[in-house]
Amino acid sequence: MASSDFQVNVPSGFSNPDSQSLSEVEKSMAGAMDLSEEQFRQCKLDHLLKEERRLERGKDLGEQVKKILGELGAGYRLTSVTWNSNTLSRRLEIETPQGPQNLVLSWELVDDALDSRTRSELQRLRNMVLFGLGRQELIVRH
Amino acid sequence: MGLSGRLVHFWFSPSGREALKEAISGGSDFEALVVEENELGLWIWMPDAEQDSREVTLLKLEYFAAASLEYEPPEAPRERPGVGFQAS
Repeated sequence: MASSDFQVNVPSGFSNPDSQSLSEVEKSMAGAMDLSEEQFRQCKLDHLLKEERRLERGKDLGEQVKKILGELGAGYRLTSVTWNSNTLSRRLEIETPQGPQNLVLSWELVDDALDSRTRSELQRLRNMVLFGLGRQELIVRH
Repeated sequence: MGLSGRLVHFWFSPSGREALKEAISGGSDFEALVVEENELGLWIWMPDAEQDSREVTLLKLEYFAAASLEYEPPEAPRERPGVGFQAS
């Protein structure tokens, strides 16, 4: 998903993104799971909607991280936000003056920050980004 | 309440003071950033340490007697995100 200037990636569990039509493979999967095609279609739709929400959340997270990187001056740029469904985490790829770095943030930390948007929760996000980038000298109690 | 990313003020328990007297200098309390929490305890980084260092220390739960931090409760409880594909 192309965002303003960073990529947001949510690897899909479906190679066929059409929620209404089922491929032959999906029809056979429905049978293997003992589901009717209509039940499978509904499950697929639910799953695709979750993926869509994760894309939006990734974009939101990226915008928050861009604000944090803005404090660090030139040379820091967010390039991508990628959801990992195995670890329930987001991987951020960030260009820094020392080269590209990856940061991994848990879903709990991200959801705490984006759901509440309270100062203390956004501060947690900021602290983890700064620590991950080796800029811990900027972590102070405000 | 998640602790990772929070600056927390800790007070040693008696066993913690003894166990960490060489790792953490100073008095009976200290401030640290919780970097990760897992079944072993809290992995902390101390702002007073050398600023360039990203070395973290394991603080077992029995090593502190009290802790304080800034906390604003969320307005509504959250649901854990679902994973995978599940029939209802």
